[in-house]
Amino acid sequence: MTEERRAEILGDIARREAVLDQVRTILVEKLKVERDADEIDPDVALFGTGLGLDSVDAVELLVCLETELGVRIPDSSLVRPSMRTVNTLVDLVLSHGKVSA
Amino acid sequence: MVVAITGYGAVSALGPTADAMWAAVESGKNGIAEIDRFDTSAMASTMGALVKGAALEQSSPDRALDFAVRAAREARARAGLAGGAPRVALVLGTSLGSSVVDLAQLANAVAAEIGATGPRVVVSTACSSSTHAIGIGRDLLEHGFADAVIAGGVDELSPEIFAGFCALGVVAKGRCAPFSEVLGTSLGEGAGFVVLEDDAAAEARGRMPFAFLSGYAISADAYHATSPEPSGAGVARAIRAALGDADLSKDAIDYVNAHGTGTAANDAAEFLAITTALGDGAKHPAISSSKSFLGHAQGAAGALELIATLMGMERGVVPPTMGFTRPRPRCPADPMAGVGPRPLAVGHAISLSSAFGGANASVIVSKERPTTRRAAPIPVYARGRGLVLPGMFAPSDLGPTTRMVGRAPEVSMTEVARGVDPRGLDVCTRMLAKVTVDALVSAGLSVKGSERDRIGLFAGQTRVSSAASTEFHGSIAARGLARLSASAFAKMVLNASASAVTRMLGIRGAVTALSTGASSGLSIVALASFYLARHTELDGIVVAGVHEIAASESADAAEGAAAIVLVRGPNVGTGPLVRIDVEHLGPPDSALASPPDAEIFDAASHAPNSGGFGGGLALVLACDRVNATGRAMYVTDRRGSASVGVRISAAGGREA
Repeated sequence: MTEERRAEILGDIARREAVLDQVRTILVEKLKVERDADEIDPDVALFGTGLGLDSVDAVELLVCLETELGVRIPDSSLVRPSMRTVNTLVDLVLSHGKVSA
Repeated sequence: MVVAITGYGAVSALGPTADAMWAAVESGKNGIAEIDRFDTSAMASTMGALVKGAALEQSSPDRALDFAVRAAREARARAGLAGGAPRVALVLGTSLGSSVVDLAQLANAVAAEIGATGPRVVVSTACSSSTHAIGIGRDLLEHGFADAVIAGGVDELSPEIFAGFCALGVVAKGRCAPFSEVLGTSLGEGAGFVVLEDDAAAEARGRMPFAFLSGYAISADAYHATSPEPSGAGVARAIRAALGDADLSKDAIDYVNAHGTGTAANDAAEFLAITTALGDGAKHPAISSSKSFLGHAQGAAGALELIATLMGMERGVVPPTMGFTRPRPRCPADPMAGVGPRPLAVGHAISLSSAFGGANASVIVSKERPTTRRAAPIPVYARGRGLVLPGMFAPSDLGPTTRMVGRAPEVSMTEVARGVDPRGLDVCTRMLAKVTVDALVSAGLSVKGSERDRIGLFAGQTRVSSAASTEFHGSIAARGLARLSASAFAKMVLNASASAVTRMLGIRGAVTALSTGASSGLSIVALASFYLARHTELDGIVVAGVHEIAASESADAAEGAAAIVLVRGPNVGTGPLVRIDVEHLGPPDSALASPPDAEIFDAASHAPNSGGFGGGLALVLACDRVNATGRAMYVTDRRGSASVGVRISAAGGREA
């Protein structure tokens, strides 16, 4: 593995961690999830028995991702699959957000 | 008593009077058009049913007040109620959660303009407000607290409300088409009022009633903050309870004026409810949705739709569902589709309304004078207590001169009920949940299985949660109208907290939120006792007064909640029992004749500046005292938009 490739991977990991923190903060501060931010499992389901969000929260979550993380979703068919878990939200932000490189 | 409908008035997107509305319906005109009063460019839709006309379009300081006064005056004039008529009560249904701080002030302002000299009550259960308001009007007449009642509702379509519904994704891009292909609703605005009188009084004045109000009911979905229960079970309960109240069989209903918002969730659930409660297999009465041409006029919707129903009944027709193209799955195949009314002789019609928080309401009107003699309302008892006091006070501190101030300690939801998700619950909802649970438990009542359908919750409060309101307006300020907080918007209805508590505890019998301003905590007991006295499907109603302090509120304000349980009879629940008699319900500052045998207790004594909490607190303390001493108490409140006097006596202690 070249040094460049190694640096690239480390950069990706750091970016992912940073976005995860931002998403967790939104869930706690805006969606009122009653847990400490770092106790939210990245693979927990957002709806139902996971974090217990519902359809109204989904609207709020999308608006927060847009206004705070610059997420622009080009195709509404991406919304549903992106809103399964915290990690799928992180993927969405990484692929469609304004993440500072 | 037979309750006659002797007048009606309407301000809607179809014109400034009821006659204008009906003329438009007959000519197939649709009130839903491009919105030009505010900017919709960033919203999901540009269409709405706004009130037009030179006199009504100029931005008067308060459009809602203007609509309400016009419609109520028209109703009063049509009924021929002279200026000097005796006690005329006003029951005003309105949503208006986002802008009006004290709903009772609006009721007082309307009452002053139209000369309503009786008590004024505000019902605020979002989009079912005016249907429930009309039912409460019947109760006021039947219990002798008014000679005539002007009941209905008003709402204006503000940019905030339009944006809120758009954020929830329920607004159709074009015109709504209930039960048809286009999904989504169209919002509207306006005001509708009916005049209710004792049939004998109307006859004595030589008035021919337009119809008779035979029954009404409310119910709770206990399901979701904004979505209806998919099975329609809540709506079906509201239909059956109204049939019971009217003493009619399901086959008697010829026509259903549906809530019919046009959304996928509402229309399918509502049709299921209608076929379950009124149908037989595929058979069901005629159904149409007047929202197809009036839009969804929110708190005014139920009253406007009832007026459309009444005007059709007079003419032997029913209003159509406009905009219908092809039927939608799980919806009626032909909801009286067309551009004009359809001929149909209607003997009995039911008008349905549903709202945020699963607050359903229904009202039945009949062309012929009902023949069944209604029994006198039964006596109502109370037991159980729940209290959340400002932080520095304990119940034992309450001396006769104690004045409470300050905030209540945070209610821990894990102590209130197991398995409750506390996420996003505001202070108002937490306090209301705690006093509801404590009151039910101390009354020896559980809410399990089919008992869930037999308990209701009535909340007396002057406004929505102030924290939720701050969050809602904050989200608009920070992100703009088009990106407002949808979850905070869902809490901008007065019944949001009570509905959240019904969801938490599974209470499905009834839910409502009422205000008479500062006397709300006591007037709620009167209104709930009237409801319980008529609605045999319920065993008990939790009545609660609640107040959440706002940041801007003065230092002498007190935060808290208080509840008791009204029960159908001594056999419901366990523990100490008192009898509740509503002796007085009049305009604010009216004289309260006191029973000679009861000690007077003024509701303002312990927490004078505390919204609905003070009245509830006085009631709980008075019940405690009656239980301890066996002597009767007379709890009074003369503030806000009504004066109230409730006699509390040891159960069975009052002999004829």
